[in-house]
Amino acid sequence: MTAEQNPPRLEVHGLTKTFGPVIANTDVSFNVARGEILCLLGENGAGKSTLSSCLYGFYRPDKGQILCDGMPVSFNSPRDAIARGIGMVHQHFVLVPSMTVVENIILGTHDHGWALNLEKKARKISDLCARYDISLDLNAKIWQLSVGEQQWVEIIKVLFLDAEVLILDEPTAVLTPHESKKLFAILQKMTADNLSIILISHKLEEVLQSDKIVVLRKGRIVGNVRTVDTTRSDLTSMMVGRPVMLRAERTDITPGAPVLQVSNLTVLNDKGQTAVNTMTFTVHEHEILGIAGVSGNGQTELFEALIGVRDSQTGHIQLSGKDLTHHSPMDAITNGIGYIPDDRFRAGLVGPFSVEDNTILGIQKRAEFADGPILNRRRIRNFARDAIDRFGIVTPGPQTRTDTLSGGNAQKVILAREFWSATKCILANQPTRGLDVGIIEYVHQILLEKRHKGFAIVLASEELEDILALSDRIAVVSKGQIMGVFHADEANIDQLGLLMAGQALENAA
Amino acid sequence: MTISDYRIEKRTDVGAIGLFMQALIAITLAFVASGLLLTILGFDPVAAFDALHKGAFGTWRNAQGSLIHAAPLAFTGVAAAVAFRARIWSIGQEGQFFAGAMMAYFFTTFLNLPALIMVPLVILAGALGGGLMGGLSGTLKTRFNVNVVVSTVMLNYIIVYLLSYLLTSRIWMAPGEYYLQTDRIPKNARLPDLWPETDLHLGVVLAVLTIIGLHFLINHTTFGFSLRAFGDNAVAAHFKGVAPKRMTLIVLTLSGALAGLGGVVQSFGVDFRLSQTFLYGHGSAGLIVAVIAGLRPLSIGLVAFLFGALAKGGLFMQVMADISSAMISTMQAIILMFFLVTSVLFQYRLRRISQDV
Ligand SMILES: Nc1ncnc2c1ncn2[C@@H]1O[C@H](COP(=O)(O)OP(=O)(O)OP(=O)(O)O)[C@@H](O)[C@H]1O
Ligand SMILES: [Mg+2]
Repeated sequence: MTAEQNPPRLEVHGLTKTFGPVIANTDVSFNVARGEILCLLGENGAGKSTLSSCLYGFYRPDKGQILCDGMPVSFNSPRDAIARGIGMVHQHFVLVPSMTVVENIILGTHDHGWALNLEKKARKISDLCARYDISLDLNAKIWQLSVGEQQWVEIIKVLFLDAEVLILDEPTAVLTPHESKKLFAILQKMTADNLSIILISHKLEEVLQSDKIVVLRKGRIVGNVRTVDTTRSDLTSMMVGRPVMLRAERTDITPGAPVLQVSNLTVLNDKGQTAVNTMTFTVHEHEILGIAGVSGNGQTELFEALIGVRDSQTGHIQLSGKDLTHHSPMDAITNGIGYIPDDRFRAGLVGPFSVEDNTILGIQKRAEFADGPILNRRRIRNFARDAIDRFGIVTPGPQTRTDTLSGGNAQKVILAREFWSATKCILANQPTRGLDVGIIEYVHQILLEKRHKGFAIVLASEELEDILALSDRIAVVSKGQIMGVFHADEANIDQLGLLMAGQALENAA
Repeated sequence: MTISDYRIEKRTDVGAIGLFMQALIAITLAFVASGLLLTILGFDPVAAFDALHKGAFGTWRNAQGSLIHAAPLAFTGVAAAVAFRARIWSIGQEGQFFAGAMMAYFFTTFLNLPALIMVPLVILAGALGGGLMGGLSGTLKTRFNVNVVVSTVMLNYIIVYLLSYLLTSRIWMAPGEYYLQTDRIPKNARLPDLWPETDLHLGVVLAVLTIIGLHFLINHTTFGFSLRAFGDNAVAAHFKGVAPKRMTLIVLTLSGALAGLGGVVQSFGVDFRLSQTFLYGHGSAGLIVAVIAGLRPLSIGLVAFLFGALAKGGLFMQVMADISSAMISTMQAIILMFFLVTSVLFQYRLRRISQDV
């Protein structure tokens, strides 16, 4: 009876979506009620982003039906979807950096006719901010905002269009832990206002804050459960198809000779401000140095200086006793340094290139891939096939364009390349961002395996679990400075948290 | 119930057949549009196109003429393509074409050696002249961050005026000469004909070899790989060892050298003199060729041949049907226009989908 009176806010029936030979979604059915948070969970490439793109009208499904409040609907564009109250917050931001917050939010509306009634609209925006407890300077330009603040703008932008169903694709991937907490507080307020949320996340503690979980594997639904009835391990085995051991076994090895020695390194950011401030540290053979810190505290600039794309102001960088200061990226690569960037499609991959070309990017001149100056296609393809097998990259083949891969599979292309080419040192900046637990486990294993082989590894992550599970020593950074270095077994989460927030140890005590 | 429905979606890859179809449609549409234009202007389009066709392909000799007209465009075409593939917006092909011809001519003003030495020398000088121009734009960009579009346009003007100065001030003009043109290039410096009784010269062979060479360079060498990576994502390429400044400098120099070779091929293979009217327009035509060919060297060869045929046939059309050769430039522009329009359309395709209702 009640079901008939209150049909679900959004319902999907038998949805199928293919891209040529690639089947992204098969026969997907689920529904979400008013005031409910539904979480889409699944491995990288399971079809979550594609499914949400169908729901907000970006793709049209090949087959299947979407119902709003029990009425069948068909979306030709995101405009049709928003007219039905369905809005999307994208995995990658789509804001115009040179425009203000208000302008960006209003940009999405089509009903402003001739006169932009800015004042009235600004009032609506500030009402929304007040309601959800978001503090934003509406006249600030987007580029002046932090990543977290930009995420709030994206959310307000969708709410401004009177969306009642919000789809958020990995919203916390770019947020600091503190900002993620805040996001969930906002989401709770929204559900209290009877809005529906569809959330995509790989982080289980976030997934467990939802009401309902739909698990996708290879485009099909393999589980549809109420959150209260499930556990973390149920979810991971449903998602990956086997149990996952997230706590990797770290054997004790005595570190060997120093490999990467950094002394008094100072590096400027793009705006000319000091981003890395006289950092000094050493990483030895068989050692993982964890860099704990909230993103934007100089990690990216530090890595860019180590890899050679950003010059240092002062200080020295040595690799196995050889001076590398002011080196080029090619020097870094030929000396056996591998780099896993945090922003994979910007710094790690050439989007329009095929998968095989990306697996040899930067190492194309090696004898394995080229005879003198001429590329050897056959050997490159075999190498790529092998990488696809070993890393389980989901793709139709080595000649597929890389920018059609799902986020996690794109990351695997980088992992395959860097783990193959590095011989001494691996620099990993947020290597598990946006990856599913199965692959995170794999990345952990492989980092530990490299450590066992004698590599020196620098690992930056916001996830303290990552850092604690893998590191031999942990350096906490804040505002470009090392606040303290700990041995993994002495580290204490509270203390790390305080240091990450920029508080010096004396004050904390 | 299942109903069928059609929808338009974006293709990820157009494919070789798609490109061929697109070219065919664009060219057909361009001919229809030019025919209309001719009719409006009061000409008989059938007679005009008949003359165009005869002039371009009517006899083996005319077809040779088309090839000869195509050769310089092939050079400026690949010159533009090399730069654009690296996303470096050099439009200096015109000036580099002039510079190549001028540098080669400069050598003939004080050197007189046997053809066996002289011909390779002027060819190299052409590459040098164009390469220096390109390298100059590259240096301005990498040292002083001068926008490449601005510097190449500026250099185009400078070099064209330089030739004009050398002629009007009679430094390069033969005494008693009436037209603004240099003295004739000595026989031993000219690009030799391939066989007696033909106008096909060494430059045509060079053009074919250059196109094949560039195809190979871009697609099958480590350098081409770096160049494409740099063009498609300069940041990632930098992280993976492609030095941006070095690449910019190399690409602009190479692009300039290719355009410069075109200048030698035209002036030492066809005109045997330098003058502004002889050299003019090859750079901009090369740009159009490169864009229509999708910046692919082998396609550039085909499109250059098409444009060469238009140029050759146009001369004939002018004589036979009394239609100004400006009509040919108009047709080239119309082809480009239709090509750009169809290339947008071809990125989409109609797909039938069924929906369960
Ligand atoms: N435009 C496209 N063309 C071809 N294949 C595509 C396209 N978009 C997605 N795919 C493929 O569809 C599948 C599902 O991709 P999707 O991006 O939906 O995964 P996902 O679940 O969001 O993964 P992730 O967690 O890594 O973001 C993948 O195999 C991907 O390669
Ligand atoms: Mg995704």
